[in-house]
Amino acid sequence: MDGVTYIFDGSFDGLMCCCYESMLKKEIPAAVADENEPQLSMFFGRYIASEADKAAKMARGIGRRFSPEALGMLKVAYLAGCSAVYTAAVNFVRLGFEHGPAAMDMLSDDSVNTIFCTCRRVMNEAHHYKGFLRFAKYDGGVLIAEIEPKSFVLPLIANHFADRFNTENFMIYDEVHGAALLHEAYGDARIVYAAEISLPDKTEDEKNYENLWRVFYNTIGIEGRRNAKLLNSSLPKRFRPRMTEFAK
Amino acid sequence: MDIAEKLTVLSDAAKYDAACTSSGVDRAGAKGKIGNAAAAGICHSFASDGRCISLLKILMSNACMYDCGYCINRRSNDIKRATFTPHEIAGLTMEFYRRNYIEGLFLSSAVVGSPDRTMELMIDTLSLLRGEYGFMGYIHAKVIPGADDALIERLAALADRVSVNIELPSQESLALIAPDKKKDAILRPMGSIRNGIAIGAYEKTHYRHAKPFAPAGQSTQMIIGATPENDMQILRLTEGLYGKYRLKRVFYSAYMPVNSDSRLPALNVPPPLLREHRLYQADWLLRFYGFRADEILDDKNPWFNELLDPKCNWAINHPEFFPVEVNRADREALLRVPGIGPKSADRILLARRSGPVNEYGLKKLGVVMKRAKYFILCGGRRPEGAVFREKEVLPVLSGRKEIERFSYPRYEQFSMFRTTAEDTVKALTGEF
Repeated sequence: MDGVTYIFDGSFDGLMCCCYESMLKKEIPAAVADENEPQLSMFFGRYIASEADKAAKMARGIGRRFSPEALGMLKVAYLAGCSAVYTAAVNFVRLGFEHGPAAMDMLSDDSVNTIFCTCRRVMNEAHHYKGFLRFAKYDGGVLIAEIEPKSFVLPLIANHFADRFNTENFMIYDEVHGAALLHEAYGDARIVYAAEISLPDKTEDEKNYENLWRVFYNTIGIEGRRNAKLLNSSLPKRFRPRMTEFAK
Repeated sequence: MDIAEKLTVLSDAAKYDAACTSSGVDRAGAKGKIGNAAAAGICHSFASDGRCISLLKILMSNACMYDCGYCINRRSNDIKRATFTPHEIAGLTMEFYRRNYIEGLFLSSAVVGSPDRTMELMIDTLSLLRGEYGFMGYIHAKVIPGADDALIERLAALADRVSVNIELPSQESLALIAPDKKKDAILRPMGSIRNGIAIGAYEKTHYRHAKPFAPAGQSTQMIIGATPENDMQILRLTEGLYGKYRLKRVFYSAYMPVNSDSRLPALNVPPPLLREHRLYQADWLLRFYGFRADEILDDKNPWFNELLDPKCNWAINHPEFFPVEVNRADREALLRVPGIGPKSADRILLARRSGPVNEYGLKKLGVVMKRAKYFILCGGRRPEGAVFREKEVLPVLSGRKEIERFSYPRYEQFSMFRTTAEDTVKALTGEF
């Protein structure tokens, strides 16, 4: 029936199963929510179990009937991790099954718009982190960085850093989502879950290079063109605590 | 001098070079080497002046034998001089790169001894980086005017982007202010780089191990407001440069008075930031919106409108072109509408395929309806509230906040007609 709330485990497979459920029962859910989210209306809520084969079947169907591009966008939008996006995703998939690839052009439809905008937002954040993330070199030559993203961007930045720093041992720790990207020199990257980490002290050499970067940063701005407003709109304040040149 | 001091001196000396992008070439990493390049460019930070920082921007040396009037490093100035060794630069680049502070290196230099000698120092540095250090990140190298073709070729094989600075917008100004830099010494290398890039691109598609030649193209830079050329002359020059030398970018740098010199504006003259901004806006119109330079400015109107950006200015002065029907117009026509850019134009064309677009749809597509509504029709209808009244429209189009940001006096009386050339000259270029 329409108006029901789907509750799932928060995984992408789970989301696919919600889409499957909606198509199967021919109903439009009022909301789709992650069971781990605190604000949950338990009224008219139905739990959707996450089944791998169902999820795979759904994903294949989206790729074939709707479009492979749509599946790609769903995987990215999913990383935003909020109920509004999950709900839009189910409706987006319904639209895709109804109209086929043409649904990708229906940019004035609310669900399509939400998925497109969320996808863009998540990709933008990932792109920001490619630039704003800062490594510090610790004893043994390991590079470690910490980030606090709104969306779960590790899967989106993994390839970039693994490719660029393939000769290095590095770790990127996502504080918000409790996950870390680990990469061994000349090896592969993988994502593991860790509630928290403790870092060793920084070496003198490291502090030296951090200082040199601050020297460069403080020198390169042209005094006569100081523009705090432009700086604030280009470099959102939430990225700064982890950036060497702004951290104390 | 220790590294920190050298870095202070030589990044301070390099900061007026506006070019800052790290875009233009996609290069995957190579196993065993560090680094890759992203075609879109990545901004690693932003400076206090709001400009993007993506490269380690330094001079090899600031001990210059030339005496260009506008330059802080000119021979006749009494300032601290320093020179990096190739190993110092390579080491710094690698350590900064490793920490994800930068996309790569931007290396320029003062003229040390001779143009060729300077080029050789730079080539040594880049060879070290690419070879011994195995660096695969982005490198932008400045070619010294007057350098030998063979040296240019060697530099371009190591760098991703190369540039030669035009410095000033006319031959006369160049001869007056920077007589050490001859016009031919600047243009000849630009021509030879253009040819090298064309050959390099051709060879890359035909031979597996073709030698690279500046795969991210060529750019240039000129100083705005140091000399009396008007906006039209500068824009025409820009159009010519893009056409003749197939540049990727032309950069404009608002003149920051650093020297007391009778040939140049006084030290207390504020830099023409609004003018620089308008030039970049016009540059975008040339490259992405299909405008010609003579459509934006001509002999009768050689200065930018201070209150309106060039696109809105064109729209206001060509009422015969509007309103544009968004459901039928082609891409070129859509791009002429204030509030519609290349991305929203493409989205409109896409959305049109599945049905007519109305004004609510347009807003979702990213069109700036606040501006566009005065210039369009949606299915034959004017959008809500789109009655063209001068008093209401001009404040909306003029981007007052933008003007205030550049702190020019506000004009109480908005007028449909362009501000007089005199007013604009006084406001934008300072007294001569």
